[in-house]
Amino acid sequence: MANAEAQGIPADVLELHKTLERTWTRGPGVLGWLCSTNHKDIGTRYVVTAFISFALAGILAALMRIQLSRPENNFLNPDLYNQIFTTHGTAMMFLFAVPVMEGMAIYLIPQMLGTRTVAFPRMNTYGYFTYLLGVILLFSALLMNVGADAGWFAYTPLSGPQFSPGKRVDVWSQMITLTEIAALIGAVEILVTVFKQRAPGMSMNRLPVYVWAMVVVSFMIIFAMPSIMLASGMLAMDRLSHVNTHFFNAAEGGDNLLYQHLFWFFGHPEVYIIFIPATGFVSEIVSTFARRRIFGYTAVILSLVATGFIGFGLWVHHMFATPIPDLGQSFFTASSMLIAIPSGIQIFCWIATLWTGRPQLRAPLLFVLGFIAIFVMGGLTGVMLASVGIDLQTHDTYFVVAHFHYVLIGGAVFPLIGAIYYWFPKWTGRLMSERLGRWNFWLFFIGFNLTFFPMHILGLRGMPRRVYTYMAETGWGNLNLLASIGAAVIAVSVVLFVINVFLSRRNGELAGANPWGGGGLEWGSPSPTPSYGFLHLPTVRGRYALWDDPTNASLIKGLSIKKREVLTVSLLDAAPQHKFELAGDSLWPFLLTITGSGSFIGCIFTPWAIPIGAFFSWIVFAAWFWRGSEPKFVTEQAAKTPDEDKSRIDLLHQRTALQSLNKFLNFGHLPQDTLGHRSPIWWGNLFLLVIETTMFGILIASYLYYRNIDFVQWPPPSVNRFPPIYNPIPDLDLPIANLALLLVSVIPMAITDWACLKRKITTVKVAFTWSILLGIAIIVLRFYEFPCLKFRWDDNAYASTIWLIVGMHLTHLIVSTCENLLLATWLFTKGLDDKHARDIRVCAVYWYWIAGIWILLFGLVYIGPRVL
Amino acid sequence: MAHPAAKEQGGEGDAFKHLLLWIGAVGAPIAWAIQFLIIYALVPHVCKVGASKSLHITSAVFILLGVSAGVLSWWNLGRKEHSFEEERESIIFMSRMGLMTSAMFTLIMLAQIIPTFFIDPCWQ
Repeated sequence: MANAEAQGIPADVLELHKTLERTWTRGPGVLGWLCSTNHKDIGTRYVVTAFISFALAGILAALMRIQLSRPENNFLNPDLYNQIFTTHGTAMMFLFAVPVMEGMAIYLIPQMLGTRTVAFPRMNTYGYFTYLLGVILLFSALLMNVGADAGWFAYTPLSGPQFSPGKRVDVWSQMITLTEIAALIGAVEILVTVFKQRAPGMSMNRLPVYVWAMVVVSFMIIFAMPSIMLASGMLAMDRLSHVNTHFFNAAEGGDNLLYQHLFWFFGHPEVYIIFIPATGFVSEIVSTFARRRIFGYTAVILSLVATGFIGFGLWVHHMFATPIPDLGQSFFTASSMLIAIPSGIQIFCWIATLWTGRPQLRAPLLFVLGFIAIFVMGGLTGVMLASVGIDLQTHDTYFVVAHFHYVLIGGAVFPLIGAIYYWFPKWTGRLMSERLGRWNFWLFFIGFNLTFFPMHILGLRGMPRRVYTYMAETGWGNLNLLASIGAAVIAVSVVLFVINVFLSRRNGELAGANPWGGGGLEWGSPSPTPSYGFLHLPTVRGRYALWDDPTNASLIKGLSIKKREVLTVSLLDAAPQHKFELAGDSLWPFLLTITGSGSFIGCIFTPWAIPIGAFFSWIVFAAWFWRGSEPKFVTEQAAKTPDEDKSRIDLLHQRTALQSLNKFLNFGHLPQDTLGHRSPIWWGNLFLLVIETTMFGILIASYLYYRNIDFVQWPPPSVNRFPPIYNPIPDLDLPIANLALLLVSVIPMAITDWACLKRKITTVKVAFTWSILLGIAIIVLRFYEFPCLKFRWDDNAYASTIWLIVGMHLTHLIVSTCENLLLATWLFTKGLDDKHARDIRVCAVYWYWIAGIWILLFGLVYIGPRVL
Repeated sequence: MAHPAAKEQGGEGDAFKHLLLWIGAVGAPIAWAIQFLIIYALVPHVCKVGASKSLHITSAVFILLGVSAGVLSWWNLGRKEHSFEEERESIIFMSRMGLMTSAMFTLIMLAQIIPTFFIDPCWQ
């Protein structure tokens, strides 16, 4: 402290810093690490874990390149090669590309928005641990010779029980579930943070381009990821003994093309989920280093939004070699070509920004220029592949491998590394070495083109993908050797990058708060950013907070500094609305990961893992919910004062443009987040419902897809059972009664909702009890509904689909009723406070949705077979 | 420039106006997404019945909706004078974006309907 005072830091500022550090810094030791919910901790972990996955997957790529460097090589055997190329692709797509982009967003977005952390910090921690288990699962399986080996897409029937016995594909499918849960949580976090926790004055038209990019990507994740979760889940059920569904079993009415549709409905948007955040990086870097605002802000945002939408209209171009009608394919050709327009608009805007600015050619900008060159080439081959004729010629050849590496490495990895160079000071307070950065760039650029350009030619000469070797007579040897040499150059470049990170972390040039002179709000806090972000939360007066009149932008007072409180604002104009208290550090997210993910991993072996895991997860969830029930050793640990080490206090000396201001706006009078307003929790619940609705929507689409197959009779008979059932039209009496009961249950729930708003506690108690009792009755009756269906889940694909629809809805009923029971227990034992009244209202909305979606599903399951 | 606190707590009060802005901005892309899914799903049916009328009618309806989103954005742009500065900027931004998305997605819908005049729905 004496040191700080010697540096001239006012005592009140120092006191504020120390109080905020106590509030926001995680506890010490391993326990503190496990419990941390700080977005900077979690974001950094995502990025580090993703880069470790990148390195491991890169090593696998190097092994493949060694194997292919000469014809008829025996360095790897075919079985190991299959595992290696599958794990490489899977890890790069699921464990590196998406998580690293979300991790960067989780780290950067609260700082760019001028808030202290993300909206649901504990869910954030839970998402990270779930993702981490996915990483461990995939790579440990490879080490144990049960690595996934059916390609990163695991097409059926190759991945089905008949052609892929053993557990390799099951490992893949459960890894998908784990990583997609994490991705969905991250997307909801980001959306709610952006919608509700911006600095006052940061209206939607003033959002940084990178934040807009992440908004678009988060929406894409919400609509795309349920499809792959469902596909991988259906595949797992097809494979699991004692379950034996037939979703993709053609012999029992299943369809392998449906799997491809489900996979690519996710898989193509995935490319843009990876690429769009990178364009956000590019926009930020270009404007900073060109010393001017981005050219055509509105056009750039239009491009992001348009790419986000059109990205969903391309999936069939991965299936041009399947028997889909030509006319249907032509629609996808059109959108595959037209998506070049928004990408082109962005590229022209970046070029115009550089052209009209005063560019400074530093390492981050070098990577951006490399990106533009490589991505344009990848984009051009993409337009070529949009044509059915060219696609058929090059399908499953190395031409496609070259194309997607140009798009993904050029389009995402180059800007990502540039972004690490650019924002490195926010992590460490130091700059990365410029000299090593230039070596890093040129080696990567040259190595990349040496590796992947020859693959275009190899593909055009007919070299197929996913082959472990080739004959010398093919003449592919020299180009493959060239590609392998290029891979070695890339490896050297990556090693240089790692060395640069480690050296600069300790010995790099001190950066100061805003080393590049950037205009974004993140440069308004010291470097490295303290655990709490900003000493005083800022307001903004323009699109570039530090360039647009920062001296007249006020700072915010009136929020608690002794609890984790942030400001919430309105959606469009960022007008201040409430104070919102966030949850503190906790062990429960980690424990829930163990029970929940343990259940997914366990069901690789037995379906009983699901109910057992659900039971233990419920216990953890209940403990998590029960405020004050954090284990004592956790609360004691968290209460310890963080070390007041010299480096942190020194940071205060690095005054920023924002923190040197003395103009304050006092928002102390704002209410705490209360009933009747669209709170972050309301928004979080809304996005959850969107995810769930998408999931059911995809199931309905699957049902209609089966219906579109030319069955002689619909529903198809269950001839595998004894005695066979030739007319499986489901009974209606009990299901109609149960539907009526479900609709009736909405009435007490609506009364509960209204009574919570009016704080009529007795009415809440009575109505809530009735709605729970009705919920339990509906669940019991639902079990009796299954016999009304007249078939078992393993009779045929139709039966599997119907059971899945009814079973998933039943699961929602059970989960919702359990939540309501928990809230009721609180209500009857501790009364009704604001927080729990809001929670009950959120659960009421969930119940309305359950009832509403069942009307649709009921029509499909019970009326559909009679009329469709 | 209005103070950031000038419209404190007033954000949700203009919910309807804001809804119109969002409809203008993303109406055309949503129209395209629905049109796209419908015409793609209709192809086998069109092959069976032998007439592409349903494809053309569906596309025409959704092209009209896409254009309407653009018209709505144009109308939204006209009411910017009545707002304070932050809101006015938002209205201009959202409306311009709506005009651009409307133009782009109407173009895509038109591009996608062209093959229906030349390609037999039963070819595969």
